[in-house]
Amino acid sequence: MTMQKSPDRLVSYLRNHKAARWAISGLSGALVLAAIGLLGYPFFTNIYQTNLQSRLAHQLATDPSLAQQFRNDAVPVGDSLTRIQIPAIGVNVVVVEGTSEADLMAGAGHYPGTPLPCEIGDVAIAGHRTTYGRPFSNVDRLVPGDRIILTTPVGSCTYEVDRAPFVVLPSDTSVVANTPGQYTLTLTSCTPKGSASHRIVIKAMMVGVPTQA
Amino acid sequence: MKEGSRLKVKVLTAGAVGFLGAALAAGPALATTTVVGPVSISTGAAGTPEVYAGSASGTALKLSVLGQSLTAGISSAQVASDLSAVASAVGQLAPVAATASQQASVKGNNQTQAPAQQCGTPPLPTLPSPFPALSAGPACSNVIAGVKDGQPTAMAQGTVADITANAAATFTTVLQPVLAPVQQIFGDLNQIAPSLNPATATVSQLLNVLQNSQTLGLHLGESSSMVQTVAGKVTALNIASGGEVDILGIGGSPVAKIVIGSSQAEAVYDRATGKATPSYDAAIVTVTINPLPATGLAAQTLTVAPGQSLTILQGTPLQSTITVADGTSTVNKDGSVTAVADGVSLDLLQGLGASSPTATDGGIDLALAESTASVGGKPAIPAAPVVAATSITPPAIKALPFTGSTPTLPLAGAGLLAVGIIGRRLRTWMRRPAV
Repeated sequence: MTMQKSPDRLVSYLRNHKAARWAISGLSGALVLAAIGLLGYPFFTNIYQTNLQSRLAHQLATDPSLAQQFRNDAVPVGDSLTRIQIPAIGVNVVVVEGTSEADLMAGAGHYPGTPLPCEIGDVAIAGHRTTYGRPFSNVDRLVPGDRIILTTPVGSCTYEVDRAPFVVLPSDTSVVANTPGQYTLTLTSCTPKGSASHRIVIKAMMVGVPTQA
Repeated sequence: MKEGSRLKVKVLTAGAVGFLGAALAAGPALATTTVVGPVSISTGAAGTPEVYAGSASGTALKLSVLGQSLTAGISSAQVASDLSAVASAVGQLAPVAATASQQASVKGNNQTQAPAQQCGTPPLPTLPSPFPALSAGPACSNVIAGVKDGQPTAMAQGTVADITANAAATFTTVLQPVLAPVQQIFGDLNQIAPSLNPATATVSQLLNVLQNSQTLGLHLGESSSMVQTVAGKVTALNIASGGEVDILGIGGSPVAKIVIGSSQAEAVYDRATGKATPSYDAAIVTVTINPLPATGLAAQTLTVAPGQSLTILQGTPLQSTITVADGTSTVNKDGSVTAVADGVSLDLLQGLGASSPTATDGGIDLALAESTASVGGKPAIPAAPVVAATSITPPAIKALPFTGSTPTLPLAGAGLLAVGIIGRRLRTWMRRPAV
């Protein structure tokens, strides 16, 4: 009687046991499906964000209570806060209140604790770069003079980029520090694309005067 | 045509009264306001007040002959955010002095200047023989400038007088080249003369009829300029009215009638958004050819659209070319805009006064209905209000939010896909019988 080596015994076992073959087949199928999910993740997030944006746009345009909530600085987290438009790079999305992972599934979110859009101080907004609609995908192309328009339930205002985009570490939260006495806007997103190692920051200053809705 | 008969052609001479440069020197106030170009706007920093400016200008007529020129129906209006408004208008410019020249200028809130309309008849020099004398009716100008409740407005209008000439002298060097083509247009004068006027039995009588008719008549409109600040917008508008040019009027109807429409240039600046928009409407010209009834030819009407050119009465000393220019609208680097309607140019009676009997380098040149408008500005940038100094405290976050993806996801997906494919291949291999 000869001693079989382990691999040969494994192969022999698999060949002689149908259930084992089925298990391998099922496992490999599951792995392929998981791979499709991982590779298609950005695509799926974009679809989700598009559907969510449709609901948020409707809320921003029609919810009668949103204006009062805005005035009271009491917009619920996850609800529509303002629309941001950047004509230079084709941005036009609704920004929600909050910057948690769930909030940012809308594409862009307002930093809680920072002034509301069009108010005095530094308004801070974070947006995705490569997923969930990637609204801030091309913020690196902004140059001084480019306009950013915020439309809220109570009015609108225009900011103008006043310096070239710059890069900081994620821990550098001073970039969203308040600016008492000034009307400024800060946009943040991840950089480089496909990575979260750093953050790209855009600074803007209000031009003109806010208009009432 | 009987030999020795002369056809006295009444020509409206340019008579011309001088060079535009000399006229500007004679009217310093006008010289500073007729030059209109893009307004220049500089970018302000935080705490910068609003700034805007608008201007409009136009010319109803520029006429030149034998290198001398005359300009008539000039208007210009300007406003600026420093609460200044200036309006200028001239009926007619001459080398000696401007006729019916006015200017209204104010600076400061709630001020108005509206002088009474001014009219005058320009003194025009007599041209040497054989060109006949030039005469003109009164030319007028109107101006208003004012600032009300922080909104400046300026309006100006320059009206062109009808310009005519009654030829008293004949010029033999011109007659021969004119007679033959006139015959081509009208046919045998001996035959058509009775149809023109039943009492005209001879060609000489016909020629007397022609002598008392105008060969060229100019009936022109005015140039109106306006810049106003209303409803959050600064609007600069210039309308240069066209007019009518009649060539060789015989029997009460000109052989050729050129009707020039008005041109318009407009520029609008929105003070709330800081955006400026230019627009223009170039003049359209309609030419009607009325051959005499005896020729049996039907009247013909042609339209010359902007960007096109048309020549009529070709091959005759009366040959005339009409060129209609299109307009332009420009956005300048500082965001200001300029709209220009370039007007119409007429090169009339090219054979008269030409260098040779067959040349077409003579005649009278007209430029009409030119309009320009320009606006620009920058909204105010709010100044920092006076607040107590406070320490700048970052919001209560530990890190800027995660808004990207990681490279591990696609790598993991590729890895899982590879393992899955290997597993499928392994299973396939397992199903084969052992060798």
